[in-house]
Amino acid sequence: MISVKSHRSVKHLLLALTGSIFVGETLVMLFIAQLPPLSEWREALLDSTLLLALTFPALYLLVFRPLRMQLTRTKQAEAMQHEVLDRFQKIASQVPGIVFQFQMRPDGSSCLPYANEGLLKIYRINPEHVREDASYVFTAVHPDDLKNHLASIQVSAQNLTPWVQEYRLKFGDEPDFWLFGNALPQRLADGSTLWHGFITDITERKQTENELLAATGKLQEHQHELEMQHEELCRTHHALGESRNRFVDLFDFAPIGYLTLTDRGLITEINLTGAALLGGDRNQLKQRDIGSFIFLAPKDYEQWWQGTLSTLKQQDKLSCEQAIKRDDGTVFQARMDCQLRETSTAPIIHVSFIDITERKQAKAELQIAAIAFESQEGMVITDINNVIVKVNQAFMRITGYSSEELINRKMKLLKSGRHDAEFYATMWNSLIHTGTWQGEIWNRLKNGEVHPQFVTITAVKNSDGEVINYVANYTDITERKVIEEKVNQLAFYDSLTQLPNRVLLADRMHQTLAHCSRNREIAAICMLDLDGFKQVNDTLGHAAGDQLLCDVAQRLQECIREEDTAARFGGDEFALLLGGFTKVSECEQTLERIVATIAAPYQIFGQIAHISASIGVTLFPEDCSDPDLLLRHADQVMYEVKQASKNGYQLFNAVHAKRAQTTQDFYKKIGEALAKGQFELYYQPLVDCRQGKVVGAEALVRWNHPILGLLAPAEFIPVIERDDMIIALGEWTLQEALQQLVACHEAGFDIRISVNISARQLRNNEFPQRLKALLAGYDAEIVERLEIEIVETAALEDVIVGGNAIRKCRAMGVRVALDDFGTGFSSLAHLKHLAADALKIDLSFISGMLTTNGDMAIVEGVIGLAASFRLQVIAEGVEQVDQVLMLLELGCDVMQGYGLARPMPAKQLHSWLAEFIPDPLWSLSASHLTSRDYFELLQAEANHRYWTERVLTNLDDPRDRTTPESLLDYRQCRFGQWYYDEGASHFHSLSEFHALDEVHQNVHRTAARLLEHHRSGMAVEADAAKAQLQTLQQQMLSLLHRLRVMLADELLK
Amino acid sequence: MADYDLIVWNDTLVTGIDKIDEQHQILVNLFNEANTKLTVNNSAEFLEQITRDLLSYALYHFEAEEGLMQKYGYTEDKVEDVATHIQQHRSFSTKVVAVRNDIKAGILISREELLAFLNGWLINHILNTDKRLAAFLLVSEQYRG
Repeated sequence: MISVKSHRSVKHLLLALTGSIFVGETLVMLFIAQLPPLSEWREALLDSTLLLALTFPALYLLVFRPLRMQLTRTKQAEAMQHEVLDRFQKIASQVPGIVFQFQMRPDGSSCLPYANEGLLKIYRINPEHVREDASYVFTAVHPDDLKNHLASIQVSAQNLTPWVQEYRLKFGDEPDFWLFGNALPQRLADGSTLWHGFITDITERKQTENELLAATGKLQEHQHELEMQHEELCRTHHALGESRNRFVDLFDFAPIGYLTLTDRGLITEINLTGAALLGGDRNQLKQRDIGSFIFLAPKDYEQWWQGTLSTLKQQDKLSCEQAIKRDDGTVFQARMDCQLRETSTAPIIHVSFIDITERKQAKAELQIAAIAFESQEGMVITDINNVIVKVNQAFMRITGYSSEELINRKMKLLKSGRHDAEFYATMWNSLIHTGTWQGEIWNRLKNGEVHPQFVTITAVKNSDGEVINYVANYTDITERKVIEEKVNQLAFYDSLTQLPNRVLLADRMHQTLAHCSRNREIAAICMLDLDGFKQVNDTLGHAAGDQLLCDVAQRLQECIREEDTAARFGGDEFALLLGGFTKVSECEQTLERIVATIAAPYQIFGQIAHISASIGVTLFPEDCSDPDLLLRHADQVMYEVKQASKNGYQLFNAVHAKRAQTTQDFYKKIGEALAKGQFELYYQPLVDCRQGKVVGAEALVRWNHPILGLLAPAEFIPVIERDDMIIALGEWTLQEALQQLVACHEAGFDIRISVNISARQLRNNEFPQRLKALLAGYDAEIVERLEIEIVETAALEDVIVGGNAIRKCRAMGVRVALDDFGTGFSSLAHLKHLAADALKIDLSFISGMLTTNGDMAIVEGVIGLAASFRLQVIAEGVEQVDQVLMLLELGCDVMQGYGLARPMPAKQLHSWLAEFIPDPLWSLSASHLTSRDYFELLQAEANHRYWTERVLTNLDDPRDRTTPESLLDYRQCRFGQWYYDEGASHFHSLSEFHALDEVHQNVHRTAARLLEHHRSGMAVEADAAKAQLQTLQQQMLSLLHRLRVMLADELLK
Repeated sequence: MADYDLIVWNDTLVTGIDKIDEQHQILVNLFNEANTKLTVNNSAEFLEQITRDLLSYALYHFEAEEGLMQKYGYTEDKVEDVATHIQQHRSFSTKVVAVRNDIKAGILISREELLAFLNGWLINHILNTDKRLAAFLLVSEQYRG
C-alpha cells in the first residue's frame, strides 16, 4: 500500500495534477476581476474554463500527457494562496479515481506516500495503511495481470518513462475491476523512484467496450472526435498559458502597486511596482505587517486598521489617502483602493496603491494659484493662438466684459488700434526670447473707451520647453495716467485753450503718420492763422481776445475727429493734424467745414466779433514724411493764403515748394556774388541844367553775372527785396558810394552821391546804427554829400517807421530823397511826416509829360509841392533836350537821364565830370529868354513823334485794333491841330514851316497804307511802307529842328 | 478765369535734359498759376508778385541754360542758335522789367496781355529754342559722358 509521506508531498501532488491549469486560471480570473475589462480575452478565458469543466472526464483520460509538461513548469506554484490550495484538496478528493504518489526504493520495497480517498474505494484499503509499505496493493492485482503490472513499473522506473497501464484487480469471486493507471516517475536523491499519478476505474468502460463491440467503428469515430477536441483543448491551453504569462507581467509591472493582505494586515502578495513603492525586496516584503509602513503612531494605526477593516466588511471597497513611510524613512502620499474578499478561510484584502505625492503637491499649488488668480489685478490666460482660456474677476471688471464674452475669443477683441505693428513685433520678440514682456498697452473696453494698462505677459512652458499658454497680468493705470496727464498737461498743453502744444503735436504727428502709412490713408497737416484777430484784441481788449481764442479752440475740436489733433502754437496760430482720409476731396470737405465754422460770428462778452481763418495745408504722404518739414510747408502755404485772399485754405504744392527753393537758391547766389565781388556800382550824373553844372550822381548797382552778363538792378533787385540779402547789398552799396565820394572829393569834384535803400533796410531796426557805423570813418564833408534814396511807396508802407528812419539819417547829416515820387500818392500830411530833403519825380511822368496832359499835370504838381515844402526836386529819366527845357520852364532844375548821361562805371565818371560841357540850349531857359513859340514848337515835335511811335508800336501788337487818332485825317492829330492853327499864325512867314505841310500829310497817307498792308498780311508791302514812314518822320523832325534852331538863334541874338 | 488753357505738363514739352525739364515745369506752373489767379482787375501788388516770381525764375533758369551752353560748347558750335537763344532770354527779362516799370507808373498790364506774352514765350521757347539746345546736349559726348 502506498503511504503518505508528508504534507508537502501531498501539496506537490495536487499541484502536479491541476496546478498548471487551475492556478493559472484562478490567478488570471482574480486579476481579470481586478483589472479593467479586456472583454474579448476574458470571454475566451471563461469559455475555455467552462469547456474544461464540462469535458473533465475526457480531460482526465486524454490530457494527462500534456499535463506532465505543465506539472514540472508549475512547481513554482508553491507560492499559491491557502484558499487555492484548499480548493485543490477538495477538488482532488472529489476526483473519481486514485490520485497518488508511489515510491519504489532501491531495495525493491515500495510505498504510497500519498493517495486520496479513491484508494480505499478501489483498492479497498485505507491510504494510511500503505503509506510505508505498498506491497498490499499488488496483492489486489489480478494474478493474470500482476507480472505485466510489475514489469511495466520496472520499465518505467528504469527508463523514467511514464507509467501507463490497463490492468485488472481481483477481489475473490467478484467480477474483475478494470483500472487505468498513469504516473510520471522521478528519481530521488536516495536512488528510489517516485511516481505521481492517478488511477481510474475503467470497468464500466471495459464492459461498454465489450457491449459496444459491434459499434467499435462508431466508437473509434468518437475517439477521433475526442482527439480532435483534445488538440483544440491543447491549443486553448497553450493560449491560456501565454495569457497567464502576460498577466503575470502585467501584474508585476503595472504602474500601480498591488498587494494582498491578510485580515491581520500581513502582506501575502505584492507586485514589483508595489515593492518598489514600499522600497523593499518583494520576497522580504511578504509576511511584513502593513502597519510598519503606514505613517501613523501605533495607536492611531490600530484604530485606522480596524476602521478600514470594518468599513471593508460593510461595503467591500474603500478608497483612502494615506502617508506611507518607507524603511529608509522617506514618506510618500499614497492613494489606496482596498477590496475585501471573503474566502472559506480568512478574508483577504486586495490593495492597489499609487504615489500621489506630486499630484497632491500640484493640487495644493493649484489651490494657491487659484487664490492668486483671483487677485485684484486683472489676469487672463490664453492659449498659444491668443485665444482666451481663462479670465479672473478683476479682468472682467477692468474690461467690462463677462467671462462668456471673453472665453474662446481672441485677445484682439481688446485691441485699441493705438499701437502699430512694430509695437506688437517688439512684444512678441521679447516673449519669444525672454518668455516675458512688460509695458503699457491701450486696450479698448466693452464700452468703447480706450484705457491704458500696465501689462506683464509671461509665457507658460511645458516640461519640453514648449510654450503652452500665455498669462497676462493687467493693472489698470488710468488713474496713474490721469496724474501723469495732469503733469503732461502743464508741459504739453496750452494753458489758455487746453489744446495740445507744439511739443505734443510733434509726438502725435509721429503716431498719426505711422498710422496713416500703415493704413494707406492721407493725413493733412495744417497751419491755421486767424484773420482779424488783432483787431478784436485791439478793440475789445485782451480778455475778449483770450475768450475768442478759447471759442476758436472749441470750434476746431468740434470740427475734427477724436483721433485728430488741434494744437495751439501761441498767439492766434493753430495747427491741425487730421488723419484717416482716403481721398483728397474728403480732406477738402473737412477744411471747408473748418473755414466756414471759424468764420461764423462770435459772441464775446455780449459783442459780436468776426474773424476768419487762413489755413495752409500739406498732405502726407504726398509731400514728405518729415514732421518738421510738413509743418514748415503748411506754414509756407498759410502765409500765401494770408497774402492772397485770407479766409480760406490752400494745399501745399510741391512745385510751389520747388519755386520757393529756387528763390532761396537765388538768395544764396546773391550772397556768393557779393562775396566774389560780382557787383559793381555805376554812376548816373545829376545835372543842374539851369546852372549848367553837375551836382551829383546816383549810384546804381550792376551785377556782373558770370554767365548772364551785366544785369540791371531792375532784373534782380525785385527778387531779393523781400529778403535780408537786400540789406547786405544795401550796406555794400553804401560803403562803395562813400569811398567814391572820397575819391571824387580828392579829385576836386564837388558832387553828392545818392544810394538806393530798400524799404526792408529802412524798416530794419538796426539800420540807423549800421549806417552810423558805416559813416564813422568819414569826415562830415563826405557824409553830408551822401544822399539816401528811398522809394516813395516803400516809405509810405509805414509812414511812422519810415519817417523816423529818415529823421535819424538826416540827424547824422545824410540827405534823404524820396525816389520814384508821384507813384505813391503821398498826401501832404505824409510828405510832412516823411521830412525828406528832396523829391525825385518818377521817370514815367517825365517821359510822358510832353505827350500826355496827365503826366504834365503830375510833374507840375510835384514841382509845386516841392517848392511849397522847400524841398529840392529832381527829374529822372530825362531823355531829350525839350524835356530839359520844359522842366526848366516848370521850375525843376536838377535832372538825370539818358538825355544827359547814361550810368557809367566809377572810372569813367571822373573823366566824364572833367569833360562835362552843358548844352547851350539849356541856357534858353536859364537866360530867361523863354518864348511861348519855342515851347509850342517843342510840344508839336513831341506830339508828332509820339503819334508815329504809336502807329509803329501798334503794328507789333496783333490784338490792338484801335486806330491811332486821326490816322486818315491829318488835321485831327495834335500836330495837325497846332500846325493849321497856332503854328500857322506864328510861323507862316517861314518856308521850312510850309514844307512841313506836305511831309505831314504824306506821313498820314503812308501810315494808313502801312496799317492796311500789315492787316492784310502783305509783309513786303508793309515793310516798305514802314521804311518810308520812318524816312518821312526824319524829314519832319529835321524840319522842326531847323525851325527851333532858327527860333533859338533869333531869341539868343 | 482761364481763357488760355492751362498748360498740362506732357511729353511734348520734355526736352530730355532733366535739369531743364524740372525748371520748365516750374515755369509752366507759374504760368498756370497766373492763368488761374489773374482777374480782369488785378492789384498792382499781385501783378508785382507775379512779375517778381517770373524775374526770379527766369534768372535762375537762364543761368542754368546758358551755363550748359558754355560748358558743353554750344556757344562755339551753334553761334546763331546761341544768339537767338540768349536774345530770347534777354527779351523776356526786358519785357518783365518793362511791365514792372509800367506797374510802378500805374499802368497795369492786362491779364490778357500778360498771359499772351507768357504763353507765347513759354511754348515757343520750350518747344523750339530749348529743344535745339537739348538736342545738341543729348548728342554731345561730353554731356553724355
